[in-house]
Amino acid sequence: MSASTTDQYVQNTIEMLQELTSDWDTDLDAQIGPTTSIVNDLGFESLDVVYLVTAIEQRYGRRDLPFEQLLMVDGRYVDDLTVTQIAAFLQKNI
Amino acid sequence: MTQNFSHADVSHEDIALVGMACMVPGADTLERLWQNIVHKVDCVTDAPPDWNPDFYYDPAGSAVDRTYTKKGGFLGDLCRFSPSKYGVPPTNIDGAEPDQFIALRCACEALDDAGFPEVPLNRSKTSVIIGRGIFVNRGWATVFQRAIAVENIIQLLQQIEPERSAEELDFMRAELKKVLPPCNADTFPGLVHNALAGRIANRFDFMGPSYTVDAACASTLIAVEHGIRELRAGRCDAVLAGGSQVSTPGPIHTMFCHLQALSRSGRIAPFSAAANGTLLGQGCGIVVLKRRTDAERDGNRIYALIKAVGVASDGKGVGLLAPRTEGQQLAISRAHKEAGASPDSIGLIEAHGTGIPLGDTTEVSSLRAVFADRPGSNSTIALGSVKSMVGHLLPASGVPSLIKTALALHHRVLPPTLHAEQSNDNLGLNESRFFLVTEARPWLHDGTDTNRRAGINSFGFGGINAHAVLEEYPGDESRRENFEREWPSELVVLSAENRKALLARAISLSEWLAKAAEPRLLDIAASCAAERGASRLAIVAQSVPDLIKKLGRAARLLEQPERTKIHDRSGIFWQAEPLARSGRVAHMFPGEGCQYTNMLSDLCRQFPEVRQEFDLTARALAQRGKSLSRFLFPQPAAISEAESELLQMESAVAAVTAASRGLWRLLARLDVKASAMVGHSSGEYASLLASGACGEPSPERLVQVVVDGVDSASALQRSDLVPQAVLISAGGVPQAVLDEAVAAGNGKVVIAMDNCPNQRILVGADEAITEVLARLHGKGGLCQRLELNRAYHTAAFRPASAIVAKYIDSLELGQPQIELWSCATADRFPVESEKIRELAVEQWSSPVRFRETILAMYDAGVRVFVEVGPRGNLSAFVSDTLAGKPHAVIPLNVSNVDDLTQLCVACGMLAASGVELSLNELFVGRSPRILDFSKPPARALKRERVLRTDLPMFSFDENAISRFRKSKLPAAMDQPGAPLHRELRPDGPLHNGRTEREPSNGQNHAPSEPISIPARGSNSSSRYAVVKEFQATMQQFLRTQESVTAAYARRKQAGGAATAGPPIVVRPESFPSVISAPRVNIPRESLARDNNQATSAITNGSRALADRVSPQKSPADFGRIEPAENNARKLPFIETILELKLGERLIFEFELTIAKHPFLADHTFFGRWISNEDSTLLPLPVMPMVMTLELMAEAAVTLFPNSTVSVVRDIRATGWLTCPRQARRIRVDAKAESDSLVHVGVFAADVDGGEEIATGAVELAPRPKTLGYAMLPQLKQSPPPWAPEDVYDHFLYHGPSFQGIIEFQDFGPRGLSCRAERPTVRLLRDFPNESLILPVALIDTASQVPGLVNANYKAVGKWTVIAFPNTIGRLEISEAAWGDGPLTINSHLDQSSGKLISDTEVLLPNGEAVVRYLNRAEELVEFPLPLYLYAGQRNSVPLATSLSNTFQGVPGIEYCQLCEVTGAGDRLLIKNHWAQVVGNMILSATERSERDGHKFSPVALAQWLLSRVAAKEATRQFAAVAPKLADVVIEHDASGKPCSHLPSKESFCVSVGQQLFFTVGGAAPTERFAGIGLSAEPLRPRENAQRDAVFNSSELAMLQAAAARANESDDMWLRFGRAAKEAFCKANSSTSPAELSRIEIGSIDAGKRCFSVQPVVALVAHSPASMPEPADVANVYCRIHDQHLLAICLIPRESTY
Repeated sequence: MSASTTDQYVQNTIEMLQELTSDWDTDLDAQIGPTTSIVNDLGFESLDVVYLVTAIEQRYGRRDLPFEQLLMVDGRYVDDLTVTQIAAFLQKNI
Repeated sequence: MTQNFSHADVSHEDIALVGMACMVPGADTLERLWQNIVHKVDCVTDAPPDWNPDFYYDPAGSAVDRTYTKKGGFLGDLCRFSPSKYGVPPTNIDGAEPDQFIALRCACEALDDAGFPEVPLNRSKTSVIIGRGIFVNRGWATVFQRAIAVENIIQLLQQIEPERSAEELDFMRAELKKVLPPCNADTFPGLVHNALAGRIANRFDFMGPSYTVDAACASTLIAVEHGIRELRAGRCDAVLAGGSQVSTPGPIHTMFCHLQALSRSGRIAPFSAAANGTLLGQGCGIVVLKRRTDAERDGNRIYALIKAVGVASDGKGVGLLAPRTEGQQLAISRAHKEAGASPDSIGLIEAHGTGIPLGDTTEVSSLRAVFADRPGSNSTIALGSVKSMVGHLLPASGVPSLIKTALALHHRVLPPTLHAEQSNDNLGLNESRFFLVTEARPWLHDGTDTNRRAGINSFGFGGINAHAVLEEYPGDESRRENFEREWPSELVVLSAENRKALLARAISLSEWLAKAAEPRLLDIAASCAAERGASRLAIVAQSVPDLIKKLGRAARLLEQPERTKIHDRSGIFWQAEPLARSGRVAHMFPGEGCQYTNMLSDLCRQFPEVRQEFDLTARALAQRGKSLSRFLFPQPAAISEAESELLQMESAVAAVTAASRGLWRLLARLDVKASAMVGHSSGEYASLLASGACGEPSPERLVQVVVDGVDSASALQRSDLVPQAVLISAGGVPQAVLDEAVAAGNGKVVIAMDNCPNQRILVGADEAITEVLARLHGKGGLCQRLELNRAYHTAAFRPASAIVAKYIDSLELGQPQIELWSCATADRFPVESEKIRELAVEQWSSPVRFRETILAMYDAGVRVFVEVGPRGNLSAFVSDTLAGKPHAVIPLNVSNVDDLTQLCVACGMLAASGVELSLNELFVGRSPRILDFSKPPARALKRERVLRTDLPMFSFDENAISRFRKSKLPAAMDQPGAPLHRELRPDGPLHNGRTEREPSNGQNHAPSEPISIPARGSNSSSRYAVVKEFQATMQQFLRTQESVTAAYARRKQAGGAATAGPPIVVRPESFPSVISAPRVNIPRESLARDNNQATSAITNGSRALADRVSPQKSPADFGRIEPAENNARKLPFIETILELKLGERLIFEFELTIAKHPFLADHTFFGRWISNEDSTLLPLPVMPMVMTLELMAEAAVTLFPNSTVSVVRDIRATGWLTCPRQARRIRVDAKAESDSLVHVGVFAADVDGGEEIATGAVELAPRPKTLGYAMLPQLKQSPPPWAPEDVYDHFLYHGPSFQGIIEFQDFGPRGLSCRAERPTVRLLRDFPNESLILPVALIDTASQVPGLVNANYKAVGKWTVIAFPNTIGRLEISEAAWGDGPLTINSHLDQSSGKLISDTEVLLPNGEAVVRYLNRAEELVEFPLPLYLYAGQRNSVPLATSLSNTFQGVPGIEYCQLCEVTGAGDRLLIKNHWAQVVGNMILSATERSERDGHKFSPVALAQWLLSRVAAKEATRQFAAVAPKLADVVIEHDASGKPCSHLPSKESFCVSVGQQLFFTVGGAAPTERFAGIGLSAEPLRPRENAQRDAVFNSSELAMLQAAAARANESDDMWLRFGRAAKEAFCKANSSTSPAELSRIEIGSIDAGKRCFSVQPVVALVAHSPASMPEPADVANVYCRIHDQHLLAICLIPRESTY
């Protein structure tokens, strides 16, 4: 994969997160960037992850993505995810 | 009063702890200590400088008298004591034991804590018993130093240098004693150890026994034990008991080091595998003890009860310093016996736990012996040691242990121990009943019938052991004081009538906060909670700045007219139409699945009701052999075991129900009411209880309910009636897709829970679920297997209904008092009890229709859904279900936000939604101070002074060293090549026996070699003078350095409070290494431009240094890096970045030009009125020092882009940065030491070798709003001796950019104060002033003030004194520096060192400081007074004195002007910078070019300038209004003769006579004169050789004859003759001495000293055509003036004379 593709996934992820958080009234101190994490930085709650999943499916027109690979590590749910992690997942599976 | 109350026969009454106070590392209050403990603050630090760590420190650590660690628990800045407050004469303090004063302070605070004097004490029966060891301390060290060391040093000195005179030794003796604290009759009580207790008894008139006890490290508990005996025997009614070890000087450390008892890793890790020793701690503490019945009768607050203290000695142990387990066991057993306590009843042991492995091992084996292991059973006793946090306080070590344990019992918390994560396997703790507490946990009470009990171990050297047993004091906890006062967030709710008023309120609060000194968020929040109004804005803030930021954001959002609500997840909530006004409020209770380990743990510590619900459940589970605390609040080491237990159904349901009930009770406390309730799955139990369907069960009943529930769940499990199943959650799967997949399963898979559109839970057998999953694959969403494994909420449950029914029966359900909804029916519960019961059973066989239920509740008017349970899952379901409909969903707890912050968020949302609640309950118990926002913020309390606890050490100041050395080596100073620095270095052998250190920075340090002077031109007297002058300058400079450094250290030691004190000599490493560190070496070849400063090598020392260091990369090698664009703020000076490693290193350059940097034109040396004709003529622009600090600040902020500069410190200015002509290239080199400290050097990059301008250190930290209240008192001396306008018209050269002083109000030798404003002139061409990091103009204004102390000159004398900044200790900046409004500047001065050392504060009208300069040291430089006045005044002050009288009798002299230069600085001008200064003051534009075209030597330049002054001064006397010197033009006429013009175009012949720096000038109007010649000769004899060349024999004869007639020496007349010839030549254009022989003296009138001079005839004949025709003959008159001989020749136009 070329570097520009990686950047593209990061950019797409950022756009989806911006869309999801657009009506939160929250003055996010930092712009959403590659190191932004969805729980610590954006305050994602449980269903927000489902919304993100749905957003990804809609954006890429795919309903078969193995999100469990993204959300679970060694049989445990991850505590948080960064934009980069999400983008890497997308790059691998799209 | 209690006099008549006899307790003689009470033998074992509980003793109540009714008051406590302490000062221990990191904490001077109970709340701070408790907060530190709970939040695991490690208060072990490096020793502060006044402890003198480097003196004792030897990392090799083998020597007996050295310490291998600098770490410990130090009081540092906390150790404050105000003598007047406690009735101690201030003179008694410094030479006394510091313990006495801190103990007195603690006693006062402990009594205050005990309610005294409102709760009275029986003074005659109050005792003071304090544990105290005998260690070296400041008091006794003073005695020792005075009585022994001084004379001992003198003796040794005498032996080494027997030639020393008695006077010298007396001097030395006096110098040694000078630095020691006083020791006299007044200080003597301060040396009597027992007076520690006596002072307290004396202060309060306590007449019970008062004494100190010493039982080594067991002292405090032994003191308590004595107190208990006094109380139980009835001899006393109250006892103050405690321990004290306020100082731990180096010698004590060295002793423990020798025992290898101190940790080399710098961490105290009790019972840990990493334990390698203890560290010593400082501190003191006192508790107030009373008999329990007395305390209860008097209404005392009781922290805890002391049941017993057991004491035992080791008997015949292996050694006096080795612990013995038998002795320890005996002490513990005795305490248990006396207390009647079984080991089973103890839940917490505060161990002695020093971290010394032998001690730890012995202690654990003693504990295990007493608390016998129970194989297979759970660990039930928490073990820890507060020493891990504060160090080992030796005799006072029982103080933090006792307070920690009492507060643990008071708060029902198991407090953590640091560094104990990995326990030492050898201790066998896993097999014991003990577990290490590494995180604070609620102390659940489940094991025993007694109240919570704790034990404390204290074991001392010498074999003395004590053990105390404490017990919680029962009773109503809800109103108890909570010492964990600081929450991670606070909820600030503003209330107002309407939206508009709310907006105004947000703004007004924000403004109030901006003015407040140190407002506490807690106080603000609690004060706002009292506000009333229909419109509510809720803000959850983490800090005051965060609050201000959010208030601003809220205000902006409120201003948007279309906005109807604010729901900012960062914590801002508001609703235009609060939902609860028209809608209903519901409580929702989640079921199992939402539990997680440590849930609500923080809430348990703050709200007893939450913990009490867990207590009840713990008691219930204990009946079934389960430990709730182990699986709910596990220590990190046991987490995985706990998590799997927490998944068991009976544990899960019990834990969730307890949590929900706790939160429900918390809601009740907050008075949040609901009109509807719903429970999700097993959450229905909590909803039934909360709705009142079970009545109002007592605690005992509740325990039974839980027990029954556990039994029911166990029965279900055992019965196996409910089939195993797999559960999955289907998230985000489209409804139709899911329905289709389920339908295809033919009923083998069912939806057990319909939570919300985006989440449903499917249940089925493994195979069937797998099929469904396969069908769903690729259809979208997220399907996750759950950890649950039973087919609840399906028809498959029905066979087990009987078991559930039995449990439901036991609940005896009745009618709910609150509308209760069922998820089985998505409807309200039926009314009849029987139907309620049926439905409660049936729901386990029915799907959970939560989505439909919520929709139904919404239809029934519910708008606010409060989730009363852990994690917040239901809230997400509700949001998803009601998406797009107006509603509020409020989880009280979520798993990824800390409990207290989420509570604030929830309460904030409740308030914003219009739900009534009692916000006050969030603050009660935390003792908030209520603020009155209608009044201006209160002034910050002045802090008490820091009490010194270090040992007094000898030191000499630089003068003493110099004087003493001089007396022995008188010649050393006068030799030009002698290494000057030797005598200036402070670290001679007298101070420190060790060798000099390597500079801390390995690479770029300046060599610490003596500054050597290039030996050139040494045979030239003027060269020699220059070199000597340079040496003197350097020496003066270095001295300034030293004295400033010493003063800085002195203040530091005195905690910044004292301004005077013994001088302390500072070792190099104590002073920040930056001074020599960030020197950038700029290689010669890389510098294209030489700024014509070839002469600067002589006058600039740093260059000589820079030349020695090897070249580094040239700028070209770095490549050009553009400033980072993502840096939000473009900084004015960051032009070209040569190197940037964020967070580490920055080198940048910029061009300094007048055009880009117009402020330079307002900062010129000297004066501003250089020319009345040419406004572009500037005096010498000099970079303001403050702007240099700005460069440093910009560098630091570039390294750390999101930081702010709070302090610039350790600034050393080494060179002037002038910008006289073209652009200068400046390089700034910054290195980060940490993310809060950057060292910066500023260099002139266009000077060969890179000339250092300044170095300093920038501290990055959030800037405070203000710097708190003024430190410097107003002096009120006298009004200033000048008018306000004089300041910038006469004294200060600053232009409008920096003119901030308005009017002086106070003036005197000790300080100055003035009214001031912030100058607003734009400083930069390309940037607004806001782009600067520092408030430059204001700081510059502040720095102008101290220098004016010397502006009270009387206009006499030749010199005045001006001050140049040399070093600045510290510059502090606050936000308010950028505000507006009037300011005052108050400056305190000290000129005793010969330097001007000042502290300056810029103050707001309310007395708060906005900028603070500390230890600004300015070199006082003598400067010619006339030049100073010339510069400062529009109307010119002459720089020359008329010589008209001297030349009386010379024909035509009345038409001429003659003068001697007296005010231009003379030889001062050989210094390059002064020559630059004066040149720019007096030269016209063309003259400047002329100057720059010459390659003058320093002396030649000085002479040239002086001659210009002479000619100009002579000329300008002719003008009606004397012009400025720069407006008098000096030129050469066609014949090459100098001439001058006034601005009026009048022209003059001019001539200058000069001998070295003696300069006279003459001007004669050209309309009258064709020429003027002036010549000067020294009076001292010339060499004969010259005379022969100048005079022929007839001239010699005439001169000798004239000498004889005048009765003067031949030599003088020879010189008259020579001068006469020269003057004639000058008047006729020729000035070459070689031609003097071609001039003939025709005759001499000896009486008139008149020479008739003419050219030799032959000369006329052969004169070149270009030479003008010399006059035929002219008279030259000679005069004597001021050791010089002068000759004047005037050539009139018409030969009339």
